[in-house]
Amino acid sequence: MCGIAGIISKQPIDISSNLLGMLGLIQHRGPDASGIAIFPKDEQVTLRISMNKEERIGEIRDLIGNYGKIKNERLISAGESIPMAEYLLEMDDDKLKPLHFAINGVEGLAVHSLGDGIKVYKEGGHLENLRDKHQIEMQNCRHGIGHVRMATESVEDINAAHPFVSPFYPELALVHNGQFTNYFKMRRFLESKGVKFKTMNDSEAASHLIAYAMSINGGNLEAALNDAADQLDGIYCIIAATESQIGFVKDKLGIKPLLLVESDDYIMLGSEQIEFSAVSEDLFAEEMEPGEVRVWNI
Amino acid sequence: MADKKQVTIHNAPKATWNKEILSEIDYKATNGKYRIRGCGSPRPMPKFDDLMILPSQLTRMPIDTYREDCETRTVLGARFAKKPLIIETPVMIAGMSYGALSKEAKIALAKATKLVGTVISNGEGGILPEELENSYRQSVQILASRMGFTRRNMEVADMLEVLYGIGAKPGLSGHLMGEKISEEIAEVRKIPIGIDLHSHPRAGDAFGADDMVVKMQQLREMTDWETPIFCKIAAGRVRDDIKIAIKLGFDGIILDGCSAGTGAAPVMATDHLGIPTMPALVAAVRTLEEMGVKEEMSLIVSGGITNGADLAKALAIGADAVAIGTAAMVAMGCRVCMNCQTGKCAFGIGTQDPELRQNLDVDEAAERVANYIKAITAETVLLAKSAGKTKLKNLEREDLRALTLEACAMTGIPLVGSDLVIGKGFGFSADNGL
Amino acid sequence: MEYLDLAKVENEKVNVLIKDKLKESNELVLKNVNSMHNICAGLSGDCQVTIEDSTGLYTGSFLEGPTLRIKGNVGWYAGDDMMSGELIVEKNTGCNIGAYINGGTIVIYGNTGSRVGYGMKGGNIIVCGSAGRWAGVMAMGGDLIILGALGKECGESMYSGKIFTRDPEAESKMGGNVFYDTITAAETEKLDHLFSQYEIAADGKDFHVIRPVLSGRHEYALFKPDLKPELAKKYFVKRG
Repeated sequence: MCGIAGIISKQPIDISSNLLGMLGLIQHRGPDASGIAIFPKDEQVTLRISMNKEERIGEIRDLIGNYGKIKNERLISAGESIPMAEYLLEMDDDKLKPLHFAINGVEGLAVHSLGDGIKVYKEGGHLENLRDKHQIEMQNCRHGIGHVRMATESVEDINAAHPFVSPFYPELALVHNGQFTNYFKMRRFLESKGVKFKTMNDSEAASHLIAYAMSINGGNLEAALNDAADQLDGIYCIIAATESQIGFVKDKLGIKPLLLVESDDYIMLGSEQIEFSAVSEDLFAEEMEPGEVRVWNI
Repeated sequence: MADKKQVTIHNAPKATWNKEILSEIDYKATNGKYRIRGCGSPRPMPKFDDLMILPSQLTRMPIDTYREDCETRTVLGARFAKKPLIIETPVMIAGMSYGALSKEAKIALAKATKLVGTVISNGEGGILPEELENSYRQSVQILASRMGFTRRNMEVADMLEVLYGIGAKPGLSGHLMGEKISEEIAEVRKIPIGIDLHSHPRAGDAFGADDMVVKMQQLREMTDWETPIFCKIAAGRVRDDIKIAIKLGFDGIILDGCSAGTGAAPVMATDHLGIPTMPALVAAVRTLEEMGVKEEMSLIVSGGITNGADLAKALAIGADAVAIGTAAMVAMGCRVCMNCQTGKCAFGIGTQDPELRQNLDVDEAAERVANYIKAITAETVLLAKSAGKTKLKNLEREDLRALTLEACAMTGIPLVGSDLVIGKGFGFSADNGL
Repeated sequence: MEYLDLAKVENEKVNVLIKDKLKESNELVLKNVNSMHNICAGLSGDCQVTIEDSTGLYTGSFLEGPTLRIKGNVGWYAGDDMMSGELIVEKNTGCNIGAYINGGTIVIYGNTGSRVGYGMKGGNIIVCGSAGRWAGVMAMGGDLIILGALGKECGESMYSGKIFTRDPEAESKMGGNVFYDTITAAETEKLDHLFSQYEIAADGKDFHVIRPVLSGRHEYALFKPDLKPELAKKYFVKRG
């Protein structure tokens, strides 16, 4: 249904180009949307936010004003989808989660990423749309994740593209290939914990579930992924990353593919062998075991 | 002029003055009292049959019916109890008293629980020692009559049920005919032989919820906070009753629909009191969610559960388990002749007559009940796997659609095909036209 | 011998080009396939195609006659529904290789993933390295020969066919409805013949055979209770 990619580089490099290259080779797996999350460490906090109407920009500025100072604002016009804005903010670390929750609570606004070490770029349609609309600058970092989407049970709108983030743990982003069969139950549970859902995409539930687990287990991605493996039902491969960790979980039935390849310079994860040739020539990737969870520290 | 042929006239079947109505009137005219009957109401009621389960096809994958597992283990009462009840299938044996049932029937039911790993409720009137000895897990009821109940019962209970009413005859005082009170029954219940028993309708140690809050604290202390304490109610004012049950601090609710059975009840009560299991269950789930306790409170439903489809749909709507009464008796041989109140059950199930009791072979009956529970659990697994689940508890209301307008309106589940929702939708498929 | 450089060719145009080239010669080498999909799917006739690098999904699906040799790695589903011919993979493969194969021979010199020979109906599949889980699952015929380590649940629900293994722990890795048997002389001879044909250093007599159980197949239990009667409260009664 979708294609996913993850990459860890021993040295900081332009991860986004690599990810886009990898995704380009699996575009056929998902024509509906694409997206990447990268983790360059910055001085300032970057907020990437979508809004259902351009007029809401004033409201957004006011909202942000309660938590920090806007240093720069860049509007990204709607084009075929909805308007977005990218902000550089000066704010305290402990205000990140409250700001994320505040925006999450507002109808029609959605955080794509918020933090000083995380940036998510996502857009509908083919990868060209992503590249053209978002002007992804070259930023050096050591890891990132990416996704191309074939919509299954929800509509194709930009907020429904992956990677997803969650106010429970703002620095987490994840991508997912598969379909959960207990999404509605999970959503009811997570909504009761205070988060608002922005889409009907089941993958959004996974981001809140894993982020929630991390918020109560002290930021342990591996334990959170193990929890997810137990609680999520259906078929899935998930790659999740924070500023300092990246890992995956594969469902117990082992139906959706997840390949791993390690070379001297890179560790790469993906849905198909072909992805890896964007970065390195002819490496054999191993299929991960059903039910497997693995996490790397960056 | 030709002879006029005799024409036989056939009237349309009498809707009002049919033979059932005529016989009821004859009974009342002869005896000057209302009729008492065994089993649940024979009236047609809206049932789980009016719902369908959506299978996995392209968007989601089915689970291999044979080779991949689906977890059936069920945990009940984890809200406050330190030792929640863990059973291997979400099917338990409902409370049916030793008195209404023969000793052989009770022992057979208890033995069946050991074969499948579930819990049996003692029913009214104390615990038959042989039932306790043979059961896998034992639930003990605390009723208004309190016959045969002592502190010792609380000590051996894996689960407690505080009874407010049963679906068949809610709000009535209990009734056991003198003919059914044998020496043994009298011994277990600690009452005299041969007198008709009319039990209390209201518990004498807690008149009202305000007192019950305090009583509940006491029950917790008596059980060291270990034992799950459930509240058993007949489905009536579901929302209001459940709100109080939540505030009283129960670990869970057993909700008995109006088509549930009993050993003996006035016909008017079984036929006209209460609401059916399926809509009651939806109301209960909505209430638990409204109060924010759906994840903590356990919900068990009973009343007319017959097969794995009923179980799967009940779980999907939001029940954690079901209790079977009549179905278990039928597995043992009962044919639902509805004459339990005579005490002359030919199958040795609903009788105390020593000769008739010989007709029930305990071990065979136990095996039959266990077989039945295994079979319906497997049926539920089959359906859940088709819907893509590897755990029964992952069935959700969005897996269901309503076949009739009534079921659609009663539950808020979208109508098949059009996805029409009448009134307040139940679940995301209702809100989003999925 | 003809050559085709597929570096700039779109995936959907590849097989047409291959078939055209094969009219000129019945030996063809493909370069820069670069993990594209459906390479030589449906190819028939008496020809030899060699692929210098790696392929993606569905390599040689429905192959009928040709000898297809891939020097690199091969993605999922290679050789599925194959009718006849040879599919030879010099390195490793993804999962579900040789699904539903009717005839012909697949040789994997490296390792394969899970579910190799899924529902296979005939032909031979030889894996020189290790196989993943569920090898030969629901096979209905054919011979699956695995030289390396088996994964779990090998041969699950086979109806017919054979799985040859020399894994010393094979008996603990079998799926349902199969049994572990000794190899016959005729089978040993067939294996040795194949090994010699494909230059594989192995000896038929080191192998055992996993065969389907034909009667008394175990009934799948949908309900599997884990009974713990000893934990009932009645055994832990505290007084006072």
